Amino acid sequence: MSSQEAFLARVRRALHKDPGPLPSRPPLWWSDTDVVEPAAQLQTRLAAQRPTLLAQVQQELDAAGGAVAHVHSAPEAVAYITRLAQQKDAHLVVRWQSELLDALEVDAALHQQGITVHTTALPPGTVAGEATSTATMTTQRRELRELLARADLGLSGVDYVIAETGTLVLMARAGQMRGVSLLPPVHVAVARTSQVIATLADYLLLAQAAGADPQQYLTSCVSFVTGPSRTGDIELKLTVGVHGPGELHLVLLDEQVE
Amino acid sequence: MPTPIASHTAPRRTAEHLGTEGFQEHARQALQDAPLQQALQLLVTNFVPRRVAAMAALGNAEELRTEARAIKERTIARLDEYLEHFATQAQRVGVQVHWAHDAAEARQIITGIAQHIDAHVIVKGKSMATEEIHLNTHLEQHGYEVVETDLGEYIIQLAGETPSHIIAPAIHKTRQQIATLLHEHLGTPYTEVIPEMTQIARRALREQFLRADMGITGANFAIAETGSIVLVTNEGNGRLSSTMPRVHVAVMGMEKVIPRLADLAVMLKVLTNSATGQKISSYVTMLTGPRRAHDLDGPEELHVVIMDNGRSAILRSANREALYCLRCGACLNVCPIYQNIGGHAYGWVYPGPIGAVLTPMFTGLDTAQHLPRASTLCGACREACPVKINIPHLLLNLRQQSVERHDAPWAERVLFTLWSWIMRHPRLYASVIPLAALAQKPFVKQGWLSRLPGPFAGWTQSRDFKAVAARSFRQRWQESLQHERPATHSAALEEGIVHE
Amino acid sequence: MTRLAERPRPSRVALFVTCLGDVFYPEVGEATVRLLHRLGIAVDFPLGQTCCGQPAFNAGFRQPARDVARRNLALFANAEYIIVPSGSCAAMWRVFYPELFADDPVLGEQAEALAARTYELAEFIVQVVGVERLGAVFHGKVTYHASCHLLRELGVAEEPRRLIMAVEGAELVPMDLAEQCCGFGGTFAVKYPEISDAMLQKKIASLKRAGADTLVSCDAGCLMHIAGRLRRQGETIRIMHLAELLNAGSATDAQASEP
Repeated sequence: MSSQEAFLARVRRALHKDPGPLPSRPPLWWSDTDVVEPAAQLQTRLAAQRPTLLAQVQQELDAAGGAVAHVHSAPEAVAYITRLAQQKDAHLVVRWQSELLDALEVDAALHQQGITVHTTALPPGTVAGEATSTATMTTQRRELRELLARADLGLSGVDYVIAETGTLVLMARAGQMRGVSLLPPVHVAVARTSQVIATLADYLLLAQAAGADPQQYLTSCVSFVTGPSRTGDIELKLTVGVHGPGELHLVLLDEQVE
Repeated sequence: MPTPIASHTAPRRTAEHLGTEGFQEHARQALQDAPLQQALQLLVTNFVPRRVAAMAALGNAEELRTEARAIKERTIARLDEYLEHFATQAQRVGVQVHWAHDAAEARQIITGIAQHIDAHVIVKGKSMATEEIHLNTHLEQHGYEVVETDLGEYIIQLAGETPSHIIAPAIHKTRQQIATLLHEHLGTPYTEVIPEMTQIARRALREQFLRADMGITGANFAIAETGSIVLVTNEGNGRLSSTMPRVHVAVMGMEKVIPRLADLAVMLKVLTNSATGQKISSYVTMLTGPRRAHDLDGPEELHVVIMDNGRSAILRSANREALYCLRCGACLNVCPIYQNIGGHAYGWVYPGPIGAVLTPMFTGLDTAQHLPRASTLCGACREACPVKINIPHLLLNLRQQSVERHDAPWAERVLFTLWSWIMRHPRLYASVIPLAALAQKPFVKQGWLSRLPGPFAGWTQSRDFKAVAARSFRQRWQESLQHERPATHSAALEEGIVHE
Repeated sequence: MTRLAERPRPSRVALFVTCLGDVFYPEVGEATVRLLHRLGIAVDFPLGQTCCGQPAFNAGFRQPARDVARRNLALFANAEYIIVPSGSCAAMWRVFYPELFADDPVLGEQAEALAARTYELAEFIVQVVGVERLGAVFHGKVTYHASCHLLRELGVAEEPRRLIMAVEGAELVPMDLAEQCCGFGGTFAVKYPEISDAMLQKKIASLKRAGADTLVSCDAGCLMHIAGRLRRQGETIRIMHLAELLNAGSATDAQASEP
């Protein structure tokens, strides 16, 4: 008997059940209905609620110690980021590889201030989903890790912003490293207002609607980030900036950027 | 620069399983410990109002608690099925699932992994499950360098102590004590300024995250549907421990599994609002397998160690609902006993009301029988619990078990046999009362006694005890009261009492 | 528990006076009988009663508790209402008697039936009789200690306060730790005296902050505990059971016998 079988047999005995084999699938309390339809309806509802939700994001993330900047054009977004980087006397910015960040052309603006920008991209010539040599990936990972350890500011996109709690949802993928929102002392996230949803339950529904298989619809790491890193471990006094970033900025952009 | 307080003068605090005598002594010392009392006051003025306000702000806290409990009930009732499903789903996404019958096996599994990957430095996120199995000592004995990274755990690791609270492990330490610890262990300049101390710890620990070979964390939830584990943290050390090292090991009690992804929304909400009064913690991390082929960071391997370690015994017992516990610490904060004696007096990993249930069930009722008794059953814990665990009733069950195992002192056994006899013979009972009234007479002053004999002397150490009444109620009833008549209906109306 | 509007107004109840009440606080039982009489309700007192069994039950001695409880089931079998001027004893009857006899088909049913007819005094007056003003008169600043079993096992929170507020001349002042345990807990106070006393001291500090001259509660155990320390400290704050307060200043109060 494998250790799993022995372990579960003991649990079954404790539950006064026959230690025999299990049914093939436990009750998961859904009636196997399609999540696609409810997800579509949700999107419609969210679009209508957006102004309220945006106000809520501001309020909640503010209360959690983050900073929210609602901007109406790409140049405004870039200006915010550049200004912040200057204030922080940043020399090195590491960012996600993303359509939105590419489109903002933030790299150029930062370069003008003498700030180096690195994008956490797959090694050159790599195509996501196709096999890449281990050695190449190892080298790339090591280099990016070393860069992140030195970076003054991490710049990412988001998958969603949850209004109820002011939470950023960041899903790790190729070109979108976990460390960008974790290692540098300042984290800036750029989101489109269309990415704002109401609750965590909304995210979980939308995620499941995006694919049949958890391996598809959940990446290896989904980070829910609400404000800077914090602790109350010393005399219950709140301090910010423990191991994660000490500053979190959300730039909410409501223009369709080409 | 102020002279640092020498750490040797501060009492070293560890939870040690000391039995009844030890508990009493420890509790006595805790009551006299002024800095500890001050720290415990913080719970009352800080954690409690925050949770109350947060739950109130939710608007539907009652429904959420009911739903959260229902999820736990249904899951635990079919725990075997959900565990199996979790394992299958987790393995599909590349998680290595291990099953540990007890603490020894869990330690063996983890050391085995460390050995297999040739680890040297291990960073740890906060995990009560790893405290339960005394993992750190074991790893250190096997030559591994283990670094606690949660600030509170780091502090007590430096102090060589055990945590005194589930959420705030170093709550019993003053800033001066912490300043001294950091100064002495790291050689950094002495400072009592909290943000400065935090930055010192940040810098020291950041180095460790970058050089560690293995990260060990707990898991707050394991989702059967997707094979994911969820970490709920505030500092970022959980994220770093599960991202930077090559290998991540998550250790969890088997009761942590929840059925569906959708269930996470309710469970997370009641957990964070109850634990710290936060709508959500700063970081919630959902891990579904180790890094993928094209992930640029993340661990190569993700191991989940599912632990029994006495939980199946709880599952079998009348106290099954103790397994619903989310380890939020809300019961500790409202417990008047915990508020007065702190966590270390409880003698093991889990203090407070839930500790008074878990410790005897995990470590043995014979040595821990005082814990279920050291409670007034006031019920504040049940009221605060996000999943409505009926802790007072669980404590009563444990008291009963203790008696059935003949662990109660023989004097008590005799006392209650006598008591039962008297209480079943009303005439005897009625005759004992005036006898008692007579016997106490020389000692009664204005209706009170200032000294009680023998085992009851504890009461009169600090309080007077009421004297037996000269004329009992039954005496008064028989002599005169029974002949009094109720007011007639119209008389009662006239007095304006009873309304039509 | 909600008022059953269809039920006729009670005309007769059985009193379970509790062993603490019988032996240490007979004036509470007297006040209870008299105020029920003022409400036009007749009171039976089955003489065969002794204790509800809670001391043994709480100590883990369920068989002795069961033996004692069994007698009560028989003794009160025909009572339409069982009134208990104690939150903890009423909770014993209502919450724990059914549990004690859960494995016995006959006694289990009896326990359930009796539990449904058992009321703590304040909840009975407000919820069943439907009355708040009883014509009591008492001049003073009164604060209320919410005893634990009454509050958290029986869910009775507002009724005692409303009854206090309806007393002419009484000013109800809040106590910040009104709902915090006083540290009595039955044998707990004797087994863990230092912890019990620490809890008691915090309660008394809160009591003094409230600025009241009178403390009222529905449990004699709590009153005995708190009063015992107040006396030791030489304090003059008066301790009263709710029944005594509700009987104050009335014709029957004048009849209250000497101890």
